Amino acid sequence: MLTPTSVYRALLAVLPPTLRSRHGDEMVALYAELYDEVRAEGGRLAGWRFAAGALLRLLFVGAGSRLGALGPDSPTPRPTDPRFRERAMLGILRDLRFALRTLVRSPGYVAIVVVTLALAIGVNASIYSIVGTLLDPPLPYRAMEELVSPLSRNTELNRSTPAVSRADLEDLVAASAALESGGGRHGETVALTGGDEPVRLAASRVTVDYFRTLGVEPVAGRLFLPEEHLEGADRVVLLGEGARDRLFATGAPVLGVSVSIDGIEHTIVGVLPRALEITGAGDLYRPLAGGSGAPNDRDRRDLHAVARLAPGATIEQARTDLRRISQALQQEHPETNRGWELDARSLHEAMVGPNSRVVFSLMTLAVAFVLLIACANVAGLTLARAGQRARELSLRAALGAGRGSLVRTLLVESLLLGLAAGLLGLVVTRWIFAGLRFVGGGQVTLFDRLRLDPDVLLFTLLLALATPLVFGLWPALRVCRRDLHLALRSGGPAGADIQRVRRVMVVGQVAMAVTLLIVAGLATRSVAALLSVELGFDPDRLMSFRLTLDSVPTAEAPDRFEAFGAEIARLPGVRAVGLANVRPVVRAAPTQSLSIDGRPDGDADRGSVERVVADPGLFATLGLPALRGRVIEQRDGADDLPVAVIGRAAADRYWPEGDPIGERIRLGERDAWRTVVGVVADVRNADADRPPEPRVYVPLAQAPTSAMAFLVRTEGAPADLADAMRAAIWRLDPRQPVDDMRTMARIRIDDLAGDLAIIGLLACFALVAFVLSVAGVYSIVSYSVTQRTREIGIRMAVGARAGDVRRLVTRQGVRMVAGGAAIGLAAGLLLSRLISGMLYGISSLDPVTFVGVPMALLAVGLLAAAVPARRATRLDPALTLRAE
Amino acid sequence: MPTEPHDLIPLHQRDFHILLALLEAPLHGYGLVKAIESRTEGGLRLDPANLYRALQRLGDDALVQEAPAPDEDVDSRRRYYAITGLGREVLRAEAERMRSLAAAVDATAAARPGLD
Repeated sequence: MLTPTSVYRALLAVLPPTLRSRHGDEMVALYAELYDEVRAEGGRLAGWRFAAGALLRLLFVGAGSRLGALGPDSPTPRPTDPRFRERAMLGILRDLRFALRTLVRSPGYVAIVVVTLALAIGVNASIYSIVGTLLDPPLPYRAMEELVSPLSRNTELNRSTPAVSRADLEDLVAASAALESGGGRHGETVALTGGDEPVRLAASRVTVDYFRTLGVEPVAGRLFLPEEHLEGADRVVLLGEGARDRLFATGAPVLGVSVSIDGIEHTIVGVLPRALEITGAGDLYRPLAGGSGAPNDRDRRDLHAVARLAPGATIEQARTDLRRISQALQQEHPETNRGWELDARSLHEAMVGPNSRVVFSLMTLAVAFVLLIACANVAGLTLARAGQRARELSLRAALGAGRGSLVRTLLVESLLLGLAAGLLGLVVTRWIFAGLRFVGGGQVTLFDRLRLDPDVLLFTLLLALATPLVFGLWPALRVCRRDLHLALRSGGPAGADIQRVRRVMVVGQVAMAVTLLIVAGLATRSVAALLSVELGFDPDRLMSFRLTLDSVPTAEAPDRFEAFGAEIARLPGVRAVGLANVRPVVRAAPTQSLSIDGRPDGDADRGSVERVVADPGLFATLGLPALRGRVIEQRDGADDLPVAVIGRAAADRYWPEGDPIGERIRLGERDAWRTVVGVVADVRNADADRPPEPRVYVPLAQAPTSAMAFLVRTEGAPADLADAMRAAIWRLDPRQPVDDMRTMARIRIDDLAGDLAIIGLLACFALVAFVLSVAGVYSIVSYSVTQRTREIGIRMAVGARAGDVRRLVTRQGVRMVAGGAAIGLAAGLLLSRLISGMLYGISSLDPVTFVGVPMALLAVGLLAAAVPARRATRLDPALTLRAE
Repeated sequence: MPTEPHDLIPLHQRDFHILLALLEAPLHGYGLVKAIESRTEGGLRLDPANLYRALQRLGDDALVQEAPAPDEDVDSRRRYYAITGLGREVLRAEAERMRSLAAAVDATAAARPGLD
């Protein structure tokens, strides 16, 4: 295993033999002792810094001792001897100047190497940082691996939710020996007034043990007291750090301050860590009190719960317990728990998602490929350059330069290149993070918290530095100085080695590029399919926002909404306005059980449907004409016959043969019986990869709701009217918060934000890999043409035609590309099997991708080889033969 | 021919601190690093490579020699180093040199008060 100590021990080889044999073991022991001490006190980063420093100093001591040995002066000149210091400093400066001059003379080489390495470093560092943050979210929980997330599942009704009911939660924590504590939270939105603008915040109500279970400590103040979870005593609030910073001036005291939430005064008793925002639980927390709105109702599965495993317990034990408890609950409370099972998964998996591991493994693989390709390219270029510099190097050797001096030259050059690449790589990382934040658009809060992982940067930097070093030094060190010139020529032993290695590397590069391109191609086509899914409505020129009416009794809400709607409709540029309780794509509509008049209420028919509250304008705005009967109209008022309109999926499921028009249905237990008056086309909701659910539309006038979404169809660009719409709302009520104003186009992008970001990255890598490998092919073929000018000249002199020469040269290139493409294809097939679960709309053997990519690479590779081939045919045989 | 102390000064800062630390008692590698770090209040932190190269050189010049482990640590496999008589003399000579330099600074500053 590559421990720092073993690296140190290996590097002892740079020391002079006497020092190494006398003190080598002591040095390693001392190094290990100091490293452990630094690491224990200062953490991993400090450990890395110490290790890097010690290793570097080891190299310098070694180099310094050997340098002294090469000079004509005394064997171990004292460091205080002014002559030594002067000579050493002059030597270093001289090397730097010389290295800079050499590099400046080949700007092409320098540019390619630095950019290649910078891209690889930047991309690697960012991806590993991203994956690190996503896989290991920096949450302020204690021992997160002990936390599990209970969920409820009902296989009969085919429903599952990552939530439990309050009564079930209490029972499962009490009855399971594997769980030591548990708590839950229930999301809500609240209106906070008293600031500049009325502001609506996402918030949560939490049970008594919620924070204790998670192990969250407040950054100021305290957590809730048990007595504050009682009705009447719950006028206390915990604020998130982010919200505190947004709502109060910096440094202003917040503890004990009173704020008005939904019109009621609450006191702030504590501030919670900023990092909690990642969970999406919201900006403020209130205690979940007993008795408010029947929270003990076992049928309301609305608590997102967490539970902590007891010491020594495993999640499997907890799951077994939960299964047993579910059975008991089904017996004891059949009216609420029949068919419901409790299960649990680790909190980590609940947060990060089941697909994540595969995606992240893919990304790390992709990025490792890019790094390898980049290093291979740089290695190839450096080798080629070493070959070209053979003459120069051997001349210097002949003039007396020691091997140490030659080595030093190459060393300094490589270090300079690596340094430049490292700095540029940091810039690349910054760009990538900025790009991700842009695509995330505030939806993917994790992107805002991306930080560069210093471990990763250090590792990649070292790798980048090592590549030109190793591949530049290796040929130089392999041969004795006198033979350097002869040996590095393409005919000589080292020269042939070099070429073989370069060819193998190019085959590898092409293979990796093909694999990356295949994966990127599959992912892109999958997302394209998702984006082009038939929505059921026209998403263009559609603006949307939400209004929640707090200060109006629910019964009066429909009239208020109608007033707002009319005000918006009057704006120039607005074609239609419609209201619904949920917006398409953003969220799934709430579901309720459906009863049909005349059909027995057996379980088979008791399905669940989506319930959408709509105003008459919705159907025209979305473009949903009636397929049968009519849509909701003005005449369906509060005092008129209760009606409903159903979607096609509902019609097909429940009336496969007959006509639903005129049938009577009821949603849930407490609604009125409604007459079906029409059938409309289906609209897709969230989860684009599932077919539309059966849904029922009820008129807003007959089902007053205080929170509705507005959908506004505009003539021109919807974003242009955003301010006008807000102004229209505030004309009627200056205290009405306007929430989440987004165009439908933006909503769709946000919906796929995560996927788009990944695709973007994959495509970037694939492109970079593609360009690098094509460049690799070109440079190898070009180099070999240069080396074979004499041979080509002879062939042409004895009658070979241009076509023959071209074929001769390109044959080598074609072999490499074909070989690489074949390997890449095989790897791509394997990988596609792994990700087949995540693909949408295309098979894992998508022919377009699997045929298109290798073809593209072959074509471009051939082109890359053809250019030097043409150059070869233009050679004048007379000139080439004379030149040697 | 034994070397004269004066041939070996001025001392490199590293060598000076090593000899000074060993003046009190024989130490091993880790002990030296810690003693020097504490005396210079973190100003001089020796790494293994530089430390042992300096020890090797000091040994070659006979200013430092290997010593047996002290009683309380007699079983350890650590190698202890002690200052030699010549080492003591060199250290004293270096201290004398620094003292005369410091005196020169004070004298000059006293003679020209406006330069403070």
